[in-house]
Amino acid sequence: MLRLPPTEVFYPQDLGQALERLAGANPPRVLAGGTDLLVALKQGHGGGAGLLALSRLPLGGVTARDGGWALGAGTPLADLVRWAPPGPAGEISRAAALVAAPPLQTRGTLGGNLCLDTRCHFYNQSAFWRSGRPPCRKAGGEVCHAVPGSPRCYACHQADLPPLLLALGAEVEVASRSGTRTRPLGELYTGDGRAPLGLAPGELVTRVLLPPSPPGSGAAYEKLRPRQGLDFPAAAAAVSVERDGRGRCAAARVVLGAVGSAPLRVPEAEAALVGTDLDGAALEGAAAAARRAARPVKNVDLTPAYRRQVVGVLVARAARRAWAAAARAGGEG
Amino acid sequence: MNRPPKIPVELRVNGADHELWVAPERTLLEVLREDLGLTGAKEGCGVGACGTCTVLLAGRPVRSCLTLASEAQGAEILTIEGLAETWPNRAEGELHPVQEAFVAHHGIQCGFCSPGMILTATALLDETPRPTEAAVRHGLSGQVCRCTGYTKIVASVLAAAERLGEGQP
Repeated sequence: MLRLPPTEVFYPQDLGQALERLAGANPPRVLAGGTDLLVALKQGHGGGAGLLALSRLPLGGVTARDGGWALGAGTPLADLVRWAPPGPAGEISRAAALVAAPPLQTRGTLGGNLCLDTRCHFYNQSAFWRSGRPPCRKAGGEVCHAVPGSPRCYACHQADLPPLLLALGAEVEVASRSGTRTRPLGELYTGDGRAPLGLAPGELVTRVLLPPSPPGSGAAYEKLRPRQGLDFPAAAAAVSVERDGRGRCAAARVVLGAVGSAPLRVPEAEAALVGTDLDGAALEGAAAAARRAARPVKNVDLTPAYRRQVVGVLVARAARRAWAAAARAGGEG
Repeated sequence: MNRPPKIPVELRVNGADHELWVAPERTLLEVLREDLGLTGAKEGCGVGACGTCTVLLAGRPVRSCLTLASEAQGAEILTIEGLAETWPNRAEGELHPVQEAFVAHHGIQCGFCSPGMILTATALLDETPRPTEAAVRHGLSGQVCRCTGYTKIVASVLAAAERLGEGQP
């Protein structure tokens, strides 16, 4: 039996107690659904003084808020799948259904997906597998096996929901002992494969806040993976668009996933869509910009060249689907 | 590292209550198999990828290898050993219709994936009584069968849906 190392598990009575514990010296690791963290612990990626389990805190649930939505970080992915609201936010349900497979969606949470660690073929392996090489940067060493000679860690950001939530203009609410603060979701991601989350010590993600969707808007998320079940994305694209009264694209957001150490917004791809009616030339312009911006390296499934090529295809595909949804929302479909 | 002390955990498994003292890092799978003798749930990969350890927690499928035993406290746990008894009006020795469909349609070869496969299918049919074949395939997409008997497994689930739907509008 592949067992977890001996670990203390702390169940806080309330959020305040959880934040106290996180603010202390040698804080525990935060356990949400555990579908990724417990794998890492089994593979010998320890650290932290035990686990802080969030499951008994009331951090889940979806509520309407100021014309938009507030999504609790503890909301299970399975509940997001069943949520299925009308409008662009409905795409969140579709994207949640693409995370791993249904039994992992039962326990996996929104907050866990947002805070998913970056991944690499040389890191997400058993301690025995890794013992054949010196430890890599992400495991506390001084070398990168994916990009030999590199001064940094290239571990890949493979969470499914962040690119889409970024395309939807989401903010993230973060709690600490000194209160809560709200900031753009993009600020949560550092781009450093070794330490991908921009959270200060003692901070905990508590909610995702979605602004109201403008009329005539749509969003879509597309994902490349070797199998249609279980696998993390090897490339992904999320696109949101707003359609004006004359059938032109008034605004767009294009965000790539799994082609770098953070979700990557591509302003050049957005510029290629805005002002057009998303004709073939506009889609190819956006796809080409995405291919130029993507920085895949050989550290997850499928080759970097293939992932770079396909991320352009995914942008065009997501843009087309988002545009069709926007047309339906604007009553033109 | 010093071993942290054991913690009390109350589990309700297949309708029976158990009070246990377990090391805090032990998984539900370990406790089911090693403490309660319920060896229906298997360990295949131990990292959530294969699905043989799947049990139902509050009616939904979970990976018991990635669920701490303490996390399962307070929720109804159903393993393959208890499935038949959830079927009302069952004759002595009779299986659950999903189990029967797997037998009748040869959805079982070596049997290693079957407990996880059958429980996942049962949860799917509880929520979606008349699934399309695509919905069955998506629902089972996290369950690996190394005998590769997927065609007959999907046929078994669709047959179970028919049987469970008999007499329903």
